[in-house]
Amino acid sequence: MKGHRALLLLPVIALVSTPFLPFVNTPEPWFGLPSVVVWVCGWCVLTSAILAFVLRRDERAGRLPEVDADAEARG
Amino acid sequence: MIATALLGLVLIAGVGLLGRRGGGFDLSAWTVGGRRFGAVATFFLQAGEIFTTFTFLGISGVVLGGGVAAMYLPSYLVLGYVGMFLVGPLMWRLGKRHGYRTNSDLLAHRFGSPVLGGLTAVLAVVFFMPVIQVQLMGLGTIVSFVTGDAATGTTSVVVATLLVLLFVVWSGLHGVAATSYLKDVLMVVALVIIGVGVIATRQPDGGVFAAVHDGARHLLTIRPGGEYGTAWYVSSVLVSGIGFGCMTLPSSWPAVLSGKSARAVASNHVWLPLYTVAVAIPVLVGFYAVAGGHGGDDDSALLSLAQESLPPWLLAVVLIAGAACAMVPAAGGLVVIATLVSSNLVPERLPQRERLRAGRITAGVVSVLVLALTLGRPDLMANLYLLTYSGVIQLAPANLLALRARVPVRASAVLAGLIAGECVVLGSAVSGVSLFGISSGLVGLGVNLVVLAAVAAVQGRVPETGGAEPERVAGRSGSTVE
Repeated sequence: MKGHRALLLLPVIALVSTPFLPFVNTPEPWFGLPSVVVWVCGWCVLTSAILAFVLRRDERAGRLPEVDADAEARG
Repeated sequence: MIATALLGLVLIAGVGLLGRRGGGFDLSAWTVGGRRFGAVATFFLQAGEIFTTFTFLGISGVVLGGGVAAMYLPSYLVLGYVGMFLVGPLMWRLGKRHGYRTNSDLLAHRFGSPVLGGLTAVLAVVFFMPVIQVQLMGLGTIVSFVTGDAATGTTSVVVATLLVLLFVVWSGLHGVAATSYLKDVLMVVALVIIGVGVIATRQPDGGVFAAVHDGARHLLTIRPGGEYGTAWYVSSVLVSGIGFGCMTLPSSWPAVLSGKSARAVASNHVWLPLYTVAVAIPVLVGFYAVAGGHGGDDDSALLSLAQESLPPWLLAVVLIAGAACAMVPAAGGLVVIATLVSSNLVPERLPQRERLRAGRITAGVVSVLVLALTLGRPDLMANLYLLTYSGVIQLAPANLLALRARVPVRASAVLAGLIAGECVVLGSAVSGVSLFGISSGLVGLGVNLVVLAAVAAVQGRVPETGGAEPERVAGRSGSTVE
């Protein structure tokens, strides 16, 4: 896995380990809402940001051309 | 309200019928949209398959029993989107190059095994048919509840099934894509309406979470044990996330293969996690139901609060959105099953035109079958639905191995692992035995991997000239580029 793609492990680890994190899995609210709800929603937003970053790096590296090479070759 | 329900069903079907554009309409256009959809269309197709009546009804019900454990849904979706961000573009490239339409095409071609392809198609049909039925049952629940008439709910199921079949036969995946736009806009609008309505009219003294904290504190954490405990949460997130991320759900395939480029497929998955935040609304509404001492039928918690909080005209919007959340995934499911049958389970010699006809006939047969079971034996498919993710996740090792430049194991090793994994899932369902509350899908996947590795080790290296060379071995329908 390329270095920048390792960032994609962060949301996976964060979300799977939710029940085991005492500061997250607590009845005390965050911003007036259940802490687990805020934690998961926060990671939804962060994951989109991480994916956008990885996509941009992939595009710069030429891994995701807009036009498929096979289709271009066939005209 | 009955007229509104009927109007909603007709509106959705009308949009689906108008989704078919252009003169030429072949098998590729019907099943994978001619592989010309951009990022927006594939985004809504993907979201359309995920945000269903369960998001609309079931998730608030889970809050009543499991509290914040209901957040397993957005958690697994995020895992799935990360997986599909990586896997989707690779599948799209292979699919484009070899003309795949289904998961079965991929496995039959890459492992050089029509048997593996056929078994994959059968498993996908068996485990996915309940998904269609659950949508129709959800539709019946919504209409019955809002109109207050059980007979109207049953009638709406019959009418919706016929209308879905009509636009699926006419427009195929184009119709599903067109209705997906409407459905997702309606769903977000309805969730916001419900959220604002409930918060504005049902705020307890000191706030809802203070009330929950005092009366049902245990629902604010994921408990170590019990029905919605840690083992359930973690294994559900893993099973559903891995299954979804490795494209083992047959519904993932049209959304990916219909993309016009690998970039469209990848960028589609960038914004889907952000969209998943919408799931928090029914979860929060579920806590208002807890604070209000709501009991009885779990699945009607959200509708019950909406009915108590909203004027009739806003409730009508919710009703139409709910109907769309049922009809669009049901339509997508019909296209998926029809594609599997027409591509992988009909005689190989049939020309494309006959395959298209076979697909349309399959859509009709499946509609009638699902409708009959919905009305006659609703428990049968509902029980099978619980096994959907556990059953299809057993295809994950095969899918990942198929993406390697050179497939490293033989089809027989994959088949042995797959059969062993499915036996564990079905054995657990029949016997009711569970390993420490862990999902049988995850246990089955472990057994699947062990058996696959053991058989592969016994068989030794796959010869360089083996049947897995992608450019030379054609699958059942994977021999031509469309």
